[in-house]
This record gives sequence, C-alpha cells and structure tokens, in this order.
Amino acid sequence: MQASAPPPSPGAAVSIHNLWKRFGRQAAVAGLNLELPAGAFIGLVGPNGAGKTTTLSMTTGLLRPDEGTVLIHGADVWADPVAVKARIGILPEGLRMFERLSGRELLQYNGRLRGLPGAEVDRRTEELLGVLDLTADADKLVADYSTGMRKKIGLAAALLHNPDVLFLDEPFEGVDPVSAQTIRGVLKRYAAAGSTVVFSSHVMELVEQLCDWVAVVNAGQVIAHGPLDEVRGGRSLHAAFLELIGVREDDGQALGWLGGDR
Amino acid sequence: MSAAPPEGRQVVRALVSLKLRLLRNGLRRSPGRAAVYVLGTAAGLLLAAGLAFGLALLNGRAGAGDAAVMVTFALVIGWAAVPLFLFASDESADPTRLTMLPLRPRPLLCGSVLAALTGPGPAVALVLLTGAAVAGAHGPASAATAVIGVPLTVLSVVTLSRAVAAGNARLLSSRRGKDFAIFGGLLFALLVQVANLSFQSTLGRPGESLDLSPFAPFAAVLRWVPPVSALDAARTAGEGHHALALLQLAAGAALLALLLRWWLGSLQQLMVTADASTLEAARGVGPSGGRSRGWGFLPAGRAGAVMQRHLRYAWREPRAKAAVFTSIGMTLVLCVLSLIQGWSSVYLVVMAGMFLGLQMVNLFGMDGSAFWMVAATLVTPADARDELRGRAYAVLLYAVPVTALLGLVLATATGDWAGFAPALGLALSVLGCAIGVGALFSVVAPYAMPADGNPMRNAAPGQSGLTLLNTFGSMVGVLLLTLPVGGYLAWALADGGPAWPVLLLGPLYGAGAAALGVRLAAGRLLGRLPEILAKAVER
Repeated sequence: MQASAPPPSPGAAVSIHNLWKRFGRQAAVAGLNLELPAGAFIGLVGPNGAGKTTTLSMTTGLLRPDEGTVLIHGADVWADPVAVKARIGILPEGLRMFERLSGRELLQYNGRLRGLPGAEVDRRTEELLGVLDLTADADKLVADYSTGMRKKIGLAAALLHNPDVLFLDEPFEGVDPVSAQTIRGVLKRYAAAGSTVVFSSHVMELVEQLCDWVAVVNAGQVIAHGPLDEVRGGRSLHAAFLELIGVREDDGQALGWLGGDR
Repeated sequence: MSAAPPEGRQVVRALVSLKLRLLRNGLRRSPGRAAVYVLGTAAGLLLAAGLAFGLALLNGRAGAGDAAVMVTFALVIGWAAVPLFLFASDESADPTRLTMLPLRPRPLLCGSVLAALTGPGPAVALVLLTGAAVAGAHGPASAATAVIGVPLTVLSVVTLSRAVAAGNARLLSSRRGKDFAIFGGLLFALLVQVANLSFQSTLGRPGESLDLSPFAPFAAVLRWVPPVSALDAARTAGEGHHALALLQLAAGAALLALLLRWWLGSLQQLMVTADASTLEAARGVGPSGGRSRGWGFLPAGRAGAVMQRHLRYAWREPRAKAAVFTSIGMTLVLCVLSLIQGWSSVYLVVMAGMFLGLQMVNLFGMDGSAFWMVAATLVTPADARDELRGRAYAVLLYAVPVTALLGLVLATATGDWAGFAPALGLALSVLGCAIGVGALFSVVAPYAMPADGNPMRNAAPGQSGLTLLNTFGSMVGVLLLTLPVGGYLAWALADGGPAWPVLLLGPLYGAGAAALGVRLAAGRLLGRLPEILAKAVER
C-alpha cells in the first residue's frame, strides 16, 4: 500500500513523504508516507507512542522534521509556511493555550493574530461561543475550564479563520459525552462544506462513526490506509486495528487472586 | 483478605515515613537539588546557631528578655505565614491528598504532628528558641522552665503552621488561592525587608553600644501572648515570679490544645469533603469587548493584540506578575536601604530601567507551551516585527511611568534636582537597550519554565548555562550598549559640561537600540519558531 516516492496527487489535501523524526536513538516517526484526500473526514489511529502526535506536529509546522516533506494543498509546510499557515487550523494535544485569558478573550486574541478585522472577529467569536455552548462561560478564565470546555474553546480557536484543513490531536480525549456531541456536530458541519478534517484518536467507535477515511499508524509508520470500509474489511474497526497492530490476547492467568475469595 | 482500617500506630508510622520518603525522593530527582537542600539546611542551621549564640551572649544585659520575646514573636509570625505561600510546594502539608484513605482523625493528627516535626525547619526553630530562652534566663528555675517552655513553643509554632494550612486548605489548593498566595508571599517578603531595615535603623548604628530599649514597649505586651509566653516563662521564673511563669506556660499549653483542636476539626472536615479544587466556583473576569472598554489606546492589528495579552498576563498570570512586581520591589527596597544608610543617589533610578527593561528577556519561555498559538499565526516578517513590538510596547507602558515616578521620588528624597534630568535620561536609555537586548535573547536563547506551579522558580532544572547567559549576558550587553550615553554623562559630570542633554540623548539612543534589537530579533524569529517552541515547553 506504500509507494516509495509517489508524486503528490492533485486531489490530496495533505501529502507526507518520507517523514523522519528521531528523539535521541529512538525514531518516533520512521519514514512515514501518507496521502490524505481533500474533503474527507480522516481518522488517524494508532496505539500510544505510535507517532501520531509527532506526525501531526510536523505536519502543522510546530515540530521541525529531521527529513522528509509535507505538502498541504501543494504548498510545502517547511519551505513555504506563508502559503500554509493561513489555510490550516490546529488543536494540539499536550500544549497549553493562553489560559489566563477568558474564553472570549482567547478567541479575540487569536482572531487578531490572524489579521482578521475586529468586527468580523467579534461576530465569529460570539457565533462560535454560541454553537459550542460556551456563551455562559465565555468570561471565565480558560484556566478554570473543564477538559471538555478546553477542547471546545481550542476547536473554536482553530476554526476562527475558516481554514481549509483542520488538524485535531485527540479532540475527544477526556471529554464528556455532551461536549463530545457538540464537537462532533460542529466537525460534521465543517466537513460537509467540503473542508478536510484530520484527527487522531484512540476511540475506534468514534472514528468508525465519524470518518470516511482512516490511516493506521504504528511504530512511526503507516501500516494501513484508505476508505474506512476498505481498511476494516467487513470487521469492526476495533478488531481490524488489533489485528493490524498484532496484539496478543492476554488470558490474565497471572492475576488468579483477583475477584477470588476475600 | 480485604483490609480493615489500619491501626493508629501503623498510621502514625506510615505518615512519618511518607514525609521522609517524599523528602528523599524530592532530593533524588537531581544531585544539584540535593546539594542545594543540604547546603540550604546547613546554612539555615548555622544562621540559627549564630543568632542563638548572639542572643545567648545578651544574657544579663538590660532588655535581653525583650529581644528574646521579639525574636520569638517574629518566628511565630513567620511560621504562621509560611503555609500561605509555600503550600503548593509541600505535598506532605496538604491533607487533601489523603482523603481517599481510610484514616481516623486522631492517628492522622498524631502522625501529622510527628511528620511536621520531621525536617530541618523545626530543628532551626529549636536552636533559635533555645538561644532566645538563654538570653533571658537566670538560675536553675529558668533552666527547669525552659526545658518545658522551649519544646512547647516549637511544637506550638509547627502546629500553628499546619493548622493554618489545614484551615485554609480549600482556599490554598484552588487556582485563585494559589494566585493570591503568590502576591501575599511577595508582600510578606517586602514586609520582612521593611522590618529588617527598621530594626537595623533603630539598633544597628555602628560604633554605638547596643541599645535594646526600643523593644521594651512591644515586648511588655507580646510576652503575655502565647506561644511567646511559654518561652518568656524562663525569664519570669529566673526573676523569682514562679506563679507567673507557670501561668505563662499554662497559656502556651492552652493555645497548643486549641490549635490541635482547630487542626483536628479542619482535618475531619477535609476528610469528608470532595477535592477542594473542584468546589470553588470560578468567577469571570468581566465581559471583554476587544479593543473597547479602556483598551482603545492600543495600536491596531497584531501589535495591539499582543500588547493587550501581555498586559493582561502581567496582572493575571502568577509568574509574569511575580517577575514584574519583584523587579519593582527589588528596586524599591534598594532605594529605601540607600536612603536609610545615607548613600542614596538619584542615579539609582537606572536600576529600575534595567530591571524593568529585562522583562523582555525570555518572552517566549514565559509563554510556555502556549507559544504554539503565536508560532501558528506568525506568517510574514511583518508579523514577527509586530509580535516583538507589541511586547516591547507593553513593557514600556509600565516601565516608563514607574521609572519616571521613581526618579521623582529619589530626586525629592535626595534633593538632587540637578541630577534628575540626566539620571532619568540615562535610565531611559538603559531601558531601551534592555528591551533591544531582551528581544534578541528571547529569540536566540529561550529557556523553559518549570512545570510546577511555583512562580518564584524562574527556570526549569538542567538549563543553568542558558539562564546564566540570559541573566548576565543581557545585563553585560545592556551595560556595554549604554556606554556612549554613560560615557558622555561621566565626561559632563567630571569636566563640568552640560548634563541635561542626556535627558534628550538617552531616550533617543534607547529607542534606537530597542528598535534595532527588535528588528534583528524579528529577522531571526520566523526561522526559529519550532526550535523556540521545543525550548519553551515547560518541564
């Protein structure tokens, strides 16, 4: 399924070629190749430590790769950031936001950093706060937000400038079902308008429900990718994933006392 | 076997060994930290021993007992205040961490007292208080009383400290409480300095014999206040008033009982309530209308947005706030000190320019991992210039008025109005140079802040080279850069040339240096975004 040096296809939103990142002696991303179709809702799945976050960081210009190229709609992320940065939205995992701003202030700050006119920033801010159900908490500091509220305000900041491609690292991690439903609604609407969403997740059921295209990453490489039905091949995505990763069934013999006589 | 609630003795032993384990593991994290801890403990004990020895030497002098009372009182205040701003850093003092365990309050209290007594702090208190007891002691009756009084006082201050911590645990472990504690800590540090200075000015006139009489009126009241009374009982007993001494001891013991009761009550309360951090309802910061509501003076576009964010952080974010207010506080303390000791000069205002200007150092390290938001939106060289310009404007917005105000105060205090204009000019040129140098260092040599919440630690471990480079490199750089202005001023003052042009020349030169620094830094900023982000993430 991997070509050694594919020419970037014209319909690709993101094309990653031979991407490498080493931390010390360990390669977090080891020659990763991937073409993501434009206008798709794409799920990036893989176990912890597979290199999903590292890949997304290098794809969005936050982490410099050791080797390799990343093109977004044909523009090189690392050679031509001007053409790329305005077209992408990012929600990273593990990086903070400016949390001593209130939710509303954070969006206004972001909008103005993006160079949007003030009135337009205010209009979009209020709309996003409303749709994401944050209006009541808009004047509280982000530092006092719950995990779900943080993800929502991060999503709002990523959407504010109406990007072509949206990168979300674990957008549903630690999020309550109500907030998750809100986030899903917004993402679906955004994708339905023809934009591309790329998100990483551990939750297979969620990926199955939302995505029409998936890529499975393990040990810094893509081990399977394509339309959802193609990758899961008649099984559940969960079963297909475990098989691809090669997980051994553990019968739990070693914990014989657990649940026994007390 | 499912476990029954543990016995009292087990709990006590577990709590004490937990304290020791936390101490040891904290030290094991880095050899440097262990060395600092050992050196700090040794220095603290030596200092306490020195003070205790000095107090003991006072024995027999008029007012020695009064001095002992004052020292004891200062110690009590210190122990009561410490948890209010060190709470976040001492895990063993936070009872909310134990709420999930099946502990009965009494063994918990007993274990907590013993755990609190373990460590260098109580040892320092014991040494110091022994010295204080010796200062006022006279004869075997004193000695016998002190044997009870000193340990009773040590136990009381430790209990007081923990009871205050437990009584305010809910406040202290909330985000708002921690923020407040930082400001309280700064204020406390400033108060300590002021107290120190006033002590020195009343007592420490060199060449004169030590006069302890100013203490007398305060000590006359404080010696009856427990737990100070328990220590002063040694003096009272030595003077033959055995009944009074017993009364003082009894007051101390009564206070200890009350404190233990309060602590126990707080512990019981805490053990049955949910995690405090989730209970506090967050308050809003008030509706914000972008550029309206008093922010209308901001420049349009990115520079304005950056400036607004920077100023909001200087007020709201503990680390930024601590940095700004310590630099102002340090300058103030030095000015007051110089005035009291009589070597003050209007040129001290230059320090304000330096310290406030150096708020530009490590800008992006102060952002921490939130720098990604900046990195993701920096696209063109003009953006990079606006980013740095906005931050420079924000620093200037408070640095220039503070510097000017301090100059006025110094000129008034010293009466050196002729020196005011050149001093202010020099200060502003230093400020400008510091802003330029700071911008450059921010881009070239950023370093990470520690991931823990303590805003007084301003660099994560393992970066001593970088922090040294930033602190001293930037200061030396600023001094070298300001040489032309300083040189002219020195010539003017020495040869009687006109000094006033410095008021014009200084700001102009400073503005030029700042603009140049920002321009050079902006040129490198765009190409270094991922490298800066990698450095800036807290660890």
